Amino acid sequence: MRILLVEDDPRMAELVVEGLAEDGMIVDHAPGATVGDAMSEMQSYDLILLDVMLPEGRQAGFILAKTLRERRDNTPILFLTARADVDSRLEGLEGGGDDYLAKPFDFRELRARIRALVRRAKGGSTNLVPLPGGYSLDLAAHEVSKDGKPVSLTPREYALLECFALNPGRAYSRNTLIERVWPEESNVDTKVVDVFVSTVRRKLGEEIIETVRGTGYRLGRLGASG
Amino acid sequence: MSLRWRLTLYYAALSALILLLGGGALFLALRASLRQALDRSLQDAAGIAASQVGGDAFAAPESPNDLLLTRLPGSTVIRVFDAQGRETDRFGRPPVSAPLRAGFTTIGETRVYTEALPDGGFIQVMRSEVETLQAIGRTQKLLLLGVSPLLLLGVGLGYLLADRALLPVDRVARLAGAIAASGRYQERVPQTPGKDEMARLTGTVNAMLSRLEATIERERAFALAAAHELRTPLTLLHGRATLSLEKERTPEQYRAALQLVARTSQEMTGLVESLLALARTNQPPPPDPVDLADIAAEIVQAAASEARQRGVDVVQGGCSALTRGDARALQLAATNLLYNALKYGGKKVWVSTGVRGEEAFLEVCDDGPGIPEGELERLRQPFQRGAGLQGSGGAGLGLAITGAVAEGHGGRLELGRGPQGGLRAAVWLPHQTLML
Repeated sequence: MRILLVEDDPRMAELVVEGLAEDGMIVDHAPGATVGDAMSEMQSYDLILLDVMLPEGRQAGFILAKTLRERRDNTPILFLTARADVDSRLEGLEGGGDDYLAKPFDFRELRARIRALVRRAKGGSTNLVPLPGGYSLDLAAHEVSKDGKPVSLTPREYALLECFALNPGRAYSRNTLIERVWPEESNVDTKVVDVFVSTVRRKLGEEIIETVRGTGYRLGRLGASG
Repeated sequence: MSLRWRLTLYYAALSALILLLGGGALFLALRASLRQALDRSLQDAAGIAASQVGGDAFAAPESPNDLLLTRLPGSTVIRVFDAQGRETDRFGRPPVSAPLRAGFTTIGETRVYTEALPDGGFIQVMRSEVETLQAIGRTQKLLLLGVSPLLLLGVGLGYLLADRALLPVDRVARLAGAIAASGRYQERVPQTPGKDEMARLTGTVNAMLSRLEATIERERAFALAAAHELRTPLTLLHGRATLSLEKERTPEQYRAALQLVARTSQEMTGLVESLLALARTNQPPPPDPVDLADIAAEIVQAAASEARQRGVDVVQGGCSALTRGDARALQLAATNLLYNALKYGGKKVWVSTGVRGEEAFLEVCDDGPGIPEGELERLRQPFQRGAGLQGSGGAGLGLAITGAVAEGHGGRLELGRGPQGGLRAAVWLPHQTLML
């Protein structure tokens, strides 16, 4: 899953990016509200982590949340801020935020809240996301299993599947998939995507990923027989 | 005892004193006047009798009528004596016998007036004093009887007056008490209109509450800001530590994490030190003589290696500038200005001292980009950093501490544009001419 972090303190940002990356989340960092606004327009994120006090002002985070909602951007927003008083929390939640976590926080809690917000936004209520062929994807354990038996996947294969599973029905171009699955690498050939898709199909069955002619790939239809 | 009762008692005591003094004076005056009237009447009678001595007036022998006459109230008895003291004539029956000595005397209840006659004899006039004494006694009784109800009336009226006067005070006291008990320092007592003592009292109480509110709010804002500032490094420490402990790491990763912990905790120490320094500026500084030129020399020397590292050229100039205060606090204030210039200024920094008018100054100028006019006021507040400097190490306390130290020394911090275009920060303090 891809997350936008808007945080002005570089050391704080480094810590959050690192802590979330260890859990397989891809985090883009924006050092201020203006950059964050622009980035959220260019790219669709699964969640936005927002600090409140930013270089643009003491309320810049709240203002950015309102701006996003006015733009009909429904990306879940989690406020991550040192302002822990009830008034601030209320302002954040009433102004378009979906959750509020005060610093200092526990990484396990932050990750769990991120997953909860993301799956809720996708209409799910547990960390298990259904896949075609009777498989299910566990957002917390980072694994795919069928009848309680996990399937052996590499982290990239899992990331590819998670990308499809979180947005069923959406067709991804090969370039978008590269951005999502190989975020830190440049010059990844689009053929690599085809190779990974066929590996996943070999492990989980052909119908797990559908080819969309002229565009790329999307998740196979749910309920299709395995 | 309540102020109300004390006032009433004072009032009652004063009333009693006035009544007693007034009553006593009245009584004495009345008594003297009655006596005087009696004496004058006796003198008149003696005069008339003296002119009749040897005439027929005394010829009438004693008769039963005469006896009755002398018993009637207010009747006068007259006796005439010759030079040998023998009674030669009389009118009426004398109730007492008095010695033959010119003047007034009182024997029993009879007032006697004896007058010397030209022939060496005497004429003696006497009259009963009973009526006068009775009149005096009645007056005395009336006065004594009248004082107690008057006194009571005075006490009652006094209490009413005190009560009326103190009622608004009570109201203010009750409201102030309620505010104190609830801790709702934003509330105010109703302002009494006009310009009397009550208006002054309510005005003063409200002004005091406003002042307290401002102080409390400022302290609260400061505590909140301080907590917020401490939270960021704490989050870093906690986050880095828990993240490192989540799974087995390489020695390099552990080392990097520990380095960050060490750096962050050192920053926190600096922040706490700064907070303490700011808290100390509330105390009055000692009146020790301080030369700002010495301080300038010391801070420039202390910052020499930092300046070299940053490639900034620091120039010190100016003349002796004497003031009084806490040399350590003033040095801290000046150091903050110098470090600001080193960190955010350009390649050259000027530190100069001097005296202008009644004030001694220490100023630090740089050739950096300076600070926009609108930003200057904000940067004096605690925890405010220049635009784009969030998370850049400093806590944003430097200028707040310098400002507080300057104000604590009866001076001020002036921020503006320097001659080289950068920031010009100057501490102005009262100039001290005499150094002992």
